[in-house]
Amino acid sequence: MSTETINISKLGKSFDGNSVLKGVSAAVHAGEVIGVLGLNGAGKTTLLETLLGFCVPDSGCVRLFGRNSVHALDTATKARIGFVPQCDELVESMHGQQYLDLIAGFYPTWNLALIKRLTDEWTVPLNLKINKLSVGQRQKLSILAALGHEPELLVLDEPVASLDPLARRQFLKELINISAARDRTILFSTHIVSDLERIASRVWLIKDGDIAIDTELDSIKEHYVRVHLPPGVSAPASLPGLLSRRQEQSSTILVFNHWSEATCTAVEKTCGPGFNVEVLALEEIFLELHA
Amino acid sequence: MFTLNPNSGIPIYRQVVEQIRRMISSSQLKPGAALPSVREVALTHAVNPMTISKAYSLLEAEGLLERQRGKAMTVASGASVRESKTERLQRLAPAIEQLVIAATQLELGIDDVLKTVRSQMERQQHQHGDKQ
Amino acid sequence: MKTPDLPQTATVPSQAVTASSSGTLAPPRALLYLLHFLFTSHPIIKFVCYTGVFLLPVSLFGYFWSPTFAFGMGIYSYLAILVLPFLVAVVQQRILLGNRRLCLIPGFPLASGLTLLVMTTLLAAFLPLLGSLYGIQHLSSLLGIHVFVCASLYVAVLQFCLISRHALALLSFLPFLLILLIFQLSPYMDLVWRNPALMLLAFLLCLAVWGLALRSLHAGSSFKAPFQQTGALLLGYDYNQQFAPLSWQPRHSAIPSTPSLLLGFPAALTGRMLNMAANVLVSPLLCGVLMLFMWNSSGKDTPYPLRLFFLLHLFIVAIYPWAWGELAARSRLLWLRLDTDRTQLWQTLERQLWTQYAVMFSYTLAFLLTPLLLEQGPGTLGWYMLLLALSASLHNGYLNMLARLEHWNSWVQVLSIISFLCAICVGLGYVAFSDNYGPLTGISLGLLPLALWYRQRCKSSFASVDWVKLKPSAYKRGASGAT
Repeated sequence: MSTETINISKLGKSFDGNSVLKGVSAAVHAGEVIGVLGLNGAGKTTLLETLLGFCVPDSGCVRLFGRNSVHALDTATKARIGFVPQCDELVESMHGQQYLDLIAGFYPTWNLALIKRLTDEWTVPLNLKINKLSVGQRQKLSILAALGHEPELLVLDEPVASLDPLARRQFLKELINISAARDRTILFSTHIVSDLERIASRVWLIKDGDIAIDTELDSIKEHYVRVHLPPGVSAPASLPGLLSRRQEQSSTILVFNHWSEATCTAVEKTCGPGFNVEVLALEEIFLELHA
Repeated sequence: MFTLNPNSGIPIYRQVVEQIRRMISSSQLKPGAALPSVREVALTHAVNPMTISKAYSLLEAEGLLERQRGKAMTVASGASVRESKTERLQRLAPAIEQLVIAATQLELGIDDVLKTVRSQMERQQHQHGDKQ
Repeated sequence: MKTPDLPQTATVPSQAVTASSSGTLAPPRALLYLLHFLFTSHPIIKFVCYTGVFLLPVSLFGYFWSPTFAFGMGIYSYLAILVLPFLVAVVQQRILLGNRRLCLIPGFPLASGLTLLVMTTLLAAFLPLLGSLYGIQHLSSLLGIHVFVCASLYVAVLQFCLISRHALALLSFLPFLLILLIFQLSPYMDLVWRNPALMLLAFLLCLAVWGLALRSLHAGSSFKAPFQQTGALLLGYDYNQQFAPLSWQPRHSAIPSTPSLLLGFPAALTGRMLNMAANVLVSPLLCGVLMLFMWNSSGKDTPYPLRLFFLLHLFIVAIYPWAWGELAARSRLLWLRLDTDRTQLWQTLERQLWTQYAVMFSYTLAFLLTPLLLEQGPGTLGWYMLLLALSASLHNGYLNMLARLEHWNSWVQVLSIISFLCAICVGLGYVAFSDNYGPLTGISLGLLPLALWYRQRCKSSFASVDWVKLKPSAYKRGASGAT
């Protein structure tokens, strides 16, 4: 409990009568890297922003660093949080350097050396006016503004949507550096599933306003498999751990979400030995869940 | 040192574990050899360091690796991953299964397949013998 | 006054231009689409336009039945199809050009400029054609040229005045006044008007200016959409750039962080004063100069210049705080950065709001204290308008903030603006027709308790403000590209 960075319990939020979050409960421990996946409009941004107190939820509560954060975050907590919003919040008429100085003014523990190193590595032109920067450079600048004070909790809402592969890789490496220090937690939402597979230790999949999957990435990959039955073989109506089935031409495809030795033997018993087990990448798992 | 594919269905830690096992059993990694640090591997391959340390811990629990005070992980001195033949054949089973499926789909006879496998293995052993 | 949102038919012009884009000249089809858009941009205009179109055959075929009646119908059609849309089209075209995405389509700025030229030409050519059709003798032979020059002048004046959103607001009340003033012929203007040679010269001059304007629109690769930077002339002059603090160097003392994030520009005192001056001083001055020019040329008594500027300034002082509701949305930037809870954040916000008011009113005070004005005084109307402007600006500032905080429907916002303006008109009406300042004073004083009430509601709304739903306008413009 003491190392729980975030504790969400039965969080509910609705807009204009639509409930976007329906009783979400989850916990995040220090040092975890959590990737948040979900369809557009599933509630990722709402969840992340409600977590940080940007709006008052209709029900439930959120505890950050053990403190209740629904109505007020105190000084100590705010200084430990870094947030990169989906739409960047840069001041258009300032130069990049001025903007960073401006943000640095809010935090006494601003790490100038870190920012300098990252600016050089990521080639962010700080002497240009922000309204002259490209979308990728703006995103990099937004990320820098959130990293400078070395927050313990870093929340990123689609931080790499507009970055090219090289920039994304550089950013990932920086996240790895950050998470190598065991007490810093990262929570980020993205559509780029391959990045998530590299760096997330745990995945939240948001579906229909709730966290449908809240498991370690390794565990997800081990439990979700696709079984291809040979043509002509049919599967029984119910199998343990079966998620869905479908027909593709003449053969049946079964998708399991709780694959184990026992399930394997069960399938072998009912369908014979000629089936093919396919392990799935995270993107495939995502697609199967939304099929 | 490793070839990791984060996008495959096999978890990363498992890929690391398998590769280290293979390297130890093929004597690519001799007892006492130092393994790269967790952070180094994580940064090179851009993967989560926790997954690498999970792999290392697993192998340490198996006795294949040992952690020396202040130093990186090294291959345990008593690490003999000389598995029995049955165990090794079991390891080969998935590859054989793939081969059999492909051969059946291509409608190749058993004799043809065995002849090809034999010639391939002989060639490999010849090359291996040349190296040594 | 809210800048009207881009109507949904804007997608039609973009499709047309992209579908058949070529290098140098905008294709005719794009022009047709744009013309259609400009003609039907507003429901009222559309309705009137359709009635004009409907009656056009009547005027054509009614010639055989009753020429005078048919001619009358023709004139109505002219007014309905061409004149009215034209008056509004200039503003609509600027709004189109304000859409950054449309401006990036190659050939679009040029196409929109050409559309205006086409409308002007149609406007000029219709009447003489109608006249010759009906054999009307006493229409001047140069009527077409007269109309062309007047229309071009109108376009130029409006473009020139559309330096800021606020001038736009101001002038959207006054286009008809401008038309009347243009057609008031002063003795000097009369000389040009009746002299065919000079008229032709004026015509050629107009053509030259059109050519220049179209040329710069065509060199559109660096065309900066006007409203993106809160003001740029058609010819690409970025007005706002001139007033950005140019001498800012990083080694100077730090810009105050909180106000800068809230306001969206570096908010040191100089920065604030300059930004406010750009919005609250310069547009009244420019509009006033133009109005004086019109008044002068029409030979009537010109109002005292400083008084005119003062009145225009007061008008903007009354409506500019409408933009400060944005501060409530931008306060989300301070949520994770300032060590306050929501109540304290509201206090910080209000403090910044009042600093803005102070800066704005300081300019009003400067006007009042200007020696000339002191001598003459603002006049009775001036004093009453001052009272009205002060209370209206407080009222509007808090009203818009409340509207943002409580996510009012845009119809409700429009309704509140309209009722506010109606009240002002009623008050001014009493002043104009029965020299009774009572209602105006009543309204001015009545706005103050309303403002206080709004403030209370803002305060309580802010305690549970939902920043997930309330987003700064920059987000809607898609500044980051993420949807």
